[in-house]
Amino acid sequence: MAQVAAGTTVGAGGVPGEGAQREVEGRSLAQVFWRRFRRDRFAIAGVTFIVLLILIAVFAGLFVTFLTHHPPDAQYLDIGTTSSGIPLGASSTFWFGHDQLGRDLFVRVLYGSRTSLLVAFVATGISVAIGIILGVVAGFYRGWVDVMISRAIDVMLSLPLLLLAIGLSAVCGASAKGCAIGPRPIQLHIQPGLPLVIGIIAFANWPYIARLIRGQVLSLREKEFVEAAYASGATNGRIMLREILPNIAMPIIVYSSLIIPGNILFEAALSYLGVGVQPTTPSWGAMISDATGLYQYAPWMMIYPGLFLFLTTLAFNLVGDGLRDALDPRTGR
Amino acid sequence: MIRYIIRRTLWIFLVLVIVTGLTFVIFYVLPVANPALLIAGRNPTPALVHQIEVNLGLNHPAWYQYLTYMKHLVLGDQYGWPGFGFSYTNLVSVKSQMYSRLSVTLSLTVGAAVLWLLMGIPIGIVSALRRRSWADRAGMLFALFGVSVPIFWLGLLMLYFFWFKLGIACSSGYAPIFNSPGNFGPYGLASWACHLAMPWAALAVGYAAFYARMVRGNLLETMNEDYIRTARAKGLPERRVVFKHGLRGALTPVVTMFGMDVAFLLGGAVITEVTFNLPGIGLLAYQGILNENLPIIQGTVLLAAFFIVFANLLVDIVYAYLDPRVRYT
Amino acid sequence: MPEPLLEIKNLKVHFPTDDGLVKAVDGVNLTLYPGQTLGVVGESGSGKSVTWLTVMGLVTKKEAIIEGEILFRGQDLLKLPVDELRNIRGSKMGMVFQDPMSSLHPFFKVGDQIVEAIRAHQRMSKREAMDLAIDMLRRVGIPRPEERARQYPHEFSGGMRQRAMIAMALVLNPDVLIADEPTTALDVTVQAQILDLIDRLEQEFNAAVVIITHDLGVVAEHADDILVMYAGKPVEFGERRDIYYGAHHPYTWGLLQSIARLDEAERERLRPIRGLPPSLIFVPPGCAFHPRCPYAFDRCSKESPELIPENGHHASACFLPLADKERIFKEEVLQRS
Repeated sequence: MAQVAAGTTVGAGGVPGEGAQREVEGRSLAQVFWRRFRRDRFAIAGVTFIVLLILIAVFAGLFVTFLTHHPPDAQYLDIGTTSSGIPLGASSTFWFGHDQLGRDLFVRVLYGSRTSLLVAFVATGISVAIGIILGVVAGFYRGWVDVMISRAIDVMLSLPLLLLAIGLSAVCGASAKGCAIGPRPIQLHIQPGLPLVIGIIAFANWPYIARLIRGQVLSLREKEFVEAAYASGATNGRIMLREILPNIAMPIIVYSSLIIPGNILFEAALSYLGVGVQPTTPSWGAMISDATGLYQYAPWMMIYPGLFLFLTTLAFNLVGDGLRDALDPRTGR
Repeated sequence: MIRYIIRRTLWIFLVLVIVTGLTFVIFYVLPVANPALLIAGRNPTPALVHQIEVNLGLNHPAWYQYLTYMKHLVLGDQYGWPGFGFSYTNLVSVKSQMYSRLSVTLSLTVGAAVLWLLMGIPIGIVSALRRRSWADRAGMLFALFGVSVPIFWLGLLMLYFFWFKLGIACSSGYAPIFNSPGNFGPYGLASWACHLAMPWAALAVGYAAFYARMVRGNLLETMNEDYIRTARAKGLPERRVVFKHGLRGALTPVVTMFGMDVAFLLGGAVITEVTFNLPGIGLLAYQGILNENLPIIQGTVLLAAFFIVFANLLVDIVYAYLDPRVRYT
Repeated sequence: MPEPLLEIKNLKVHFPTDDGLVKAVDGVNLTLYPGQTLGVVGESGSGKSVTWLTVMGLVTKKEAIIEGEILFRGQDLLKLPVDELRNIRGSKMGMVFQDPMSSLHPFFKVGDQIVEAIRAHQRMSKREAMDLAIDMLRRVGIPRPEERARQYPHEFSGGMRQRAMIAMALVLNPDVLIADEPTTALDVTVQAQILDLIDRLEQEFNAAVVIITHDLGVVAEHADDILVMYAGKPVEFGERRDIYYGAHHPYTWGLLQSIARLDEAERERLRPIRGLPPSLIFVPPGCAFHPRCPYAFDRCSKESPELIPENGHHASACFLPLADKERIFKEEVLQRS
């Protein structure tokens, strides 16, 4: 009965004393989902921030052209650092101050959003794609395929992934040529830099998604509508694409949004440890890394990039929470 | 039960073999740099480099080196069992280096774990019980902050404000309790705790936030269970309903989580150790990676993997004890 | 007339939700006497469960707007301090729930859960309480009770768990036993056993029993009186034979026609009541049942009928003239059911 009073889903599953059943069933699931999400002020604030950040990332060049006139890689050692090499703080033209090479921190922070957003969407997208394929295949075919994939997931989850990621990043980033994996004829060349970082993050993340999706597919398989599709002679591929995938789309979207902040922090951490993106690529993590030896004298070098990093992960967390609550209001705030 | 333990132990060995193989491939087969050059110093003669290669066994093919490594691991080497070899940079046994640094990582992890449990669980409980109250909102705001803030940034901010600006905290670095052999006094303990206070806090915030959210969600769900209604129908006091019947259901999954989190950190809290310059396993591994010091990397990765698989087993056994529905299968 | 055990006077339980006010219970009057067995019947959403959860104090003013009086031996439970109500609950009034699978705590042993119920109300050592619990498990027909008390709920079958739940509810010899759909989640063969058990224990303990169900068939043999509820309101009340051999409300007719009967299994399909129960936020004006009622006329959509006694105790809330009700029941309902 408590559900009736507390939740918004009045009329879930045979609880006596419920009402409003027809009203709720009258709307489609997606409409209910969207209505709940829209009412979540925090989530909307998150969306707003992310949209602004995307605009900044896309139009970062315009800021340089029309506003600051300082390209992200231009070094202003003469006006930006003291004679002993200590960077100078904010001024009317350098709003966030300089870094250790005299570069305009404001511009670099703006450009840094590109790295974080690329990681947020591309790395998450790749790992989700791998996770969906392996998870659906394992849950759908079961048998030895499932055993193989599940064991692979178990092994992956037993690995110290952060150490391996740092290692892979360091090894392949050590020389400009990158590194090669595999025996000679079919070698896979990995170039250092952002693509490598994205690949590593995707590699570290897929087991979690695959495991989640496998579970969902296993339970969906037993549902009547899948049986019905079988009975009507649908092929395996068609059942996976038309019956199973649409039904796990919502959880996938929610889960993807929930791992985005972690992925952003992952990239920032790798760059902070000096094994992430190339030194010339602006990355908030790398900027904080630059500040480690200088933060007593130039605190702005870590404060601004960190603040943007924090706000970005915060915004993605708000959106992820909002999506999750909209899908399953019982867990909500 | 016996069969279960045997199967799980075999699984542990399998994972550790895979881990060594994987690390070997990543760190040995991939890079072009020759570790012998690292040791040989500046302007080495080819003869010297060759001599070092022979000494390190680098003149053998990769598979032979791997099998040698595994043989030493299982049977021990000149430094005893298990044989992890010696570091390429300072020629000291990897095992002794890891053991000496384990106390740092252990100090960091245990302190942080106590802190995050003491913060996360009460916040989660209060938030769930007083849902939508100001306490709930404040707790969840903290949780949101905790899961979003990058730990290295938080660490630097703390160092900047509390140590550099206000001067009320100790600097980065580690102060062992036993500053010299046999010298154990209040000073050692105080400076140990003082140097670890900020790392503890920085490391604990994220976990505390995560635990607060999880406990809150679990407890909200549990309090809607039919068996909670039964407990109330029996006429139990509300306190007992919540703390015995509710928390038992809500905290059981937290035990699993906690075991795995601690195990992951024991394998090296890399970011925290780097930020606060704590010479633990994580910093050792990090430096090993940057120096392409294969034996150190192998050893630390293996140790970390061991903690994880062992904690996995431990957690499963504890869980089966806590939840009578779970059987060993 | 003996002293009434429980009197419910104009009880209203309304839940505020995001979508509006859910009027789960909207004006229930009822008197329960010692030794009486009352069947409360209605579809899900009729307010039958909420009424009794409110009596037990399991729906509180924290979550719902509660009006009216619930007099237990003359004492208004709604005005009682939390602690005193808690003391009555579980000792003077016991409740058994629908799903025995989820109603016992999975992590605690069955015996310990009963011991806990005892010791919440009586000063008793754990040993004594355990002896009492084992004795109670024996009385509800659980074989080898000493052994069973040390087992966890998942080691029990559904029927055995429901017996354990009944043991837990009756262990302190309560005046009222409320059974909320006690057999719905069980196998058909086990259902009859549980109902017979409740019947037998009612004699042994001389308790008043309330059986809440959506199935008139369940209470056909066991209830003295039957209350039919619809959309939070009582629509018909009468002795068992009044209902089964002369029901006056079209909704009750619908319920009667939807009872599954073995003897005519092949002759005619079950006749469900058309339509869905109304939303409790937007209850239809007039008689709440009129949109689904095949006999509704103008007045039904304008005025709300009161529960009016027509033959002694037998009362119904319907505007149809008594003669019509009797005729329709004989000609249409009896024919088919």
